Amino acid sequence: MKKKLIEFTINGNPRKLYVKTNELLLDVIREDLGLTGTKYGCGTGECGACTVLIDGEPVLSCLTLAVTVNKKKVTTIEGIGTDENPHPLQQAFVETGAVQCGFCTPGMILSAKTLLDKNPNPTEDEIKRAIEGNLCRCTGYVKIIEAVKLAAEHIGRGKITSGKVLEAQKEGRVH
Amino acid sequence: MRPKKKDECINVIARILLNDFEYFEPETISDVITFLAKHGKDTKLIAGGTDLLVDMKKGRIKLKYLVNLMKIPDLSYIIEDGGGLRIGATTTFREIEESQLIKEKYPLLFEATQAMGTVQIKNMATIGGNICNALPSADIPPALVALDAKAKIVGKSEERFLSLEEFFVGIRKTTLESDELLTEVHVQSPPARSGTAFLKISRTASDLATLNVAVRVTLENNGACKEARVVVGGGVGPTLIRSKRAETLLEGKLLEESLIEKTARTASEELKPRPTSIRASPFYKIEVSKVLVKRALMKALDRAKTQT
Repeated sequence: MKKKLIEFTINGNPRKLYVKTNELLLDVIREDLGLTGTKYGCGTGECGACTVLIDGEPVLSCLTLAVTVNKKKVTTIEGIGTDENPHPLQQAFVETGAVQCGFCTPGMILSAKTLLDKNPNPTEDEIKRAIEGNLCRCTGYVKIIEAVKLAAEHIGRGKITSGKVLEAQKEGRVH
Repeated sequence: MRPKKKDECINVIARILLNDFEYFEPETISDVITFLAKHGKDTKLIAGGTDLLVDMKKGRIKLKYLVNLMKIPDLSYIIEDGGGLRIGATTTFREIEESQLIKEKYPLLFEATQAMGTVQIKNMATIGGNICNALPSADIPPALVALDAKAKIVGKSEERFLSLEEFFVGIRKTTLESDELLTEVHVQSPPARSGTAFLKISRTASDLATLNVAVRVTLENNGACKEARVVVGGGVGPTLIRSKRAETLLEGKLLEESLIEKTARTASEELKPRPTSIRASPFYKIEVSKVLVKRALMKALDRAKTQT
């Protein structure tokens, strides 16, 4: 089995790792790095449960070869907030009850985060378009859309963009 | 009940890639061509990978070498040039969708891009990959054919340009040789007084097409139709179908609603959906095509009238 050394950043931390050429990014994230927030859903690009951010853009880790993320920045759900300091989106999902079984939630939040980073005041239509690639089979889209709106309000009140929330949290400017 | 095909059964367990292969990341087009000249038959090229990896998971593909094109800086660009547009093969659909130039001047390509896939797929999938995979359900090829697009194909000894219409020869089959690379798509700028429209029907907004239609109507100064393109895709035959018979009906005539209806019926007669078609029965596809072609032509005509 052929292996290649890749260097990449996972949730802000630089990593070097030998990966098999035919290994999927999803498996490396879950098995090698132990970050199980990213889910295996359909495996064919339909459901979005495996969504991660590569260089800030949502992509499907079940259809990405791990070797191709060499020199790139990968962000998973574990990288945007903690139990103590959740990301405004995570907080809003809790507050609105947007989580039912929770399987789609990590992908939903990462897709929504990309939207809010670029567009802090999205319309409902823009929210729907941003999460069109994330299927929720508990049929909870109404609450999810409410949560994204609420997060946008939270972020707006803090006068900071969600991309900067973590830095602000570290510096104690917001909680 | 229809017996399950082999790859439907495999689908259930396809969590990992069973193929073992060597992986390469060339940085120039000429490196790819040199590699293909030597190993073309055992090589698969990967760009976004959204189709290829699904096929690999399903065990449909055998390969020894996998060559990633995404590290070649010279393959990703959107440039307006003379009378048209040049798009590099590894330009992603997200880049195409977000291009102001394409939205304003090539609305047909913009509309088709909006209709295809999800945000994630558009961040990954590339225009070259979409064309080279030659899936009959693809949304982009009908729009490109309606815009008289050409593919630039580079081989070890020569470069050639081929109209996209001639590029597709069957399901997943193109005229591309194993030692050739599609590097660029040329899209003609639509002539003055042109209107276009792309319509699609699918189970959900971002799903593969049950049927799609791309049309262009170009008018004379007196309002008669100078030139038309009527292209139907979404699994209506081994490739997309451009209905020249339908186009001939329109050309030289004033576009009354009754003529457009007749044209739509003519286009629908040329479709050959498979009896085993997955997303809809052949009967349904043909009935829907009559409605969609008509609606698309009416919309394109309205848009052409507002153009000067």
